[in-house]
Amino acid sequence: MPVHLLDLGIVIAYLAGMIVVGYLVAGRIRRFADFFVAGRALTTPILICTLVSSYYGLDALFGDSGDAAREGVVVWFTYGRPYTLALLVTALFLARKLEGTGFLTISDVLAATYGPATQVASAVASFLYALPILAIMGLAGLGQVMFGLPLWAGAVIGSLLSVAYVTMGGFWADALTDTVQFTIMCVSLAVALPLILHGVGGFAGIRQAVGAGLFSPLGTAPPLYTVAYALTAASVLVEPLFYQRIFAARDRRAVRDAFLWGLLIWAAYDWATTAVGMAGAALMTTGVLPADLPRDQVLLRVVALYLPVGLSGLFLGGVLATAMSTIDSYLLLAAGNLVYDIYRPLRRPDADDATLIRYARVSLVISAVVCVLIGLYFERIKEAWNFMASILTSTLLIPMAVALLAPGRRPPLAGALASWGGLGAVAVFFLVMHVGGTPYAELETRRLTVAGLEVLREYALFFALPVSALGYVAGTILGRRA
Amino acid sequence: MILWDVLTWLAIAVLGPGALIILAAFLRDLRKR
Repeated sequence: MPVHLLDLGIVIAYLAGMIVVGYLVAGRIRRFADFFVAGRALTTPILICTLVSSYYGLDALFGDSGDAAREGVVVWFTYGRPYTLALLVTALFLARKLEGTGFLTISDVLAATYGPATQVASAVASFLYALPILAIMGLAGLGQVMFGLPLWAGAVIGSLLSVAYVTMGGFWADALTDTVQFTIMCVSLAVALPLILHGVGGFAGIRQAVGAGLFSPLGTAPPLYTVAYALTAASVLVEPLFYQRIFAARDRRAVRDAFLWGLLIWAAYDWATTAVGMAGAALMTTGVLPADLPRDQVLLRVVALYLPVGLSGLFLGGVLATAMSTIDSYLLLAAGNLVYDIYRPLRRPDADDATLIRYARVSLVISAVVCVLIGLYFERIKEAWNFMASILTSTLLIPMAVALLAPGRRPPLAGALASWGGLGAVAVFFLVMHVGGTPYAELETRRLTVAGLEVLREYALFFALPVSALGYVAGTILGRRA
Repeated sequence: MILWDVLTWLAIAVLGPGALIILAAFLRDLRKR
């Protein structure tokens, strides 16, 4: 796909701007809290920008549009809206519970309730989850489609650029660049959506091409599969990115308002990607696009058909912004997990701020390298998302729910068995599905029949959450006896 | 088709003018500092 010089110029100007912001704010970093939660000074508008742009990466943009091309409006109604509900709980409940606690990370909360074993388990799960593998994969795909770069080269260049400004300016650089990235990613989609829908003859044109199947809000997949996807919305309640932003906020009201605005914008963004994906389905059915087009590439190919030069540069900037705002934020979280939640409690409880900041900068680079290596391994975006959301939710949800609903010290063994049990259960589940399962082409997943029951790879939480809950109960009983 | 069109125009309003209003609020905050 050829890229016009004007489009390339827009992209390069955008990238240079990000680096300049990182350089300018580097001088403001004095304490680790400056580096990691921007000195707890964020107001509502900047919180909205950093929440929306960081949480929504290329998995939302390419993944959701690709899913919508195959499954239709179910992606918005049934897969997406449970997230709105979980975000509402986060807006109204979490910020109130966490205000004034002085914590920096989600693992801090668990350390205060259960002690170091649970803290480390949550940090390991959070680290694995925070690795922005999906965004790296998306960037690599983008480099391949737009510039003909090999996958590894796109991944390495994109990560290097994202790491550069966050390494310099920490969360301040992250949040400030997020405001620009937020605007570009939203506006570019708002501009592209009507042009694309007009090009395919609106929803009437789509329905004429693909039939009514894509317009069923509940979809046509097995009900348990749909429930399994809706259940991944529980990951919102233990999303480390949200906790970091709650701790970075100036006050509770700023957090609540930012989440309430955010859930509106996320819902709008979801609908836009769903609609573009469905337009893609129509174009694939009518032969304008190849019928066997990989789903994750649908959005880019549709955009290339309908956006004129200049606007497609803006959109390309929007795609880069979507990816980079996620990569920088999550790499910063991963680095915080390594240094603040694992290295500090286990090796250097007395580490000063300068040491933590120095090590966090090194960890940013290490996390980026690990991420690129794993990113090149996974094939499909939704597949990786399910794996990572399952790891995070199964490790943190039960101990965190107890810590928030009934604050105070709890038996350390309860937290340890619930978190490590949940983490281990997901690992075993995915291993068994990988070794024993057979491909299920229709849903692009794997399945295994156990005692007459068909188990899909997406069902990890059905297995892991009860294991975590049992671990909590067993740990409470054994902990009291001890 | 009406529901899908309404959702689409709402999405465009939120992602276009809505995002610009939020950016303006951020710039106003920044100037105050």
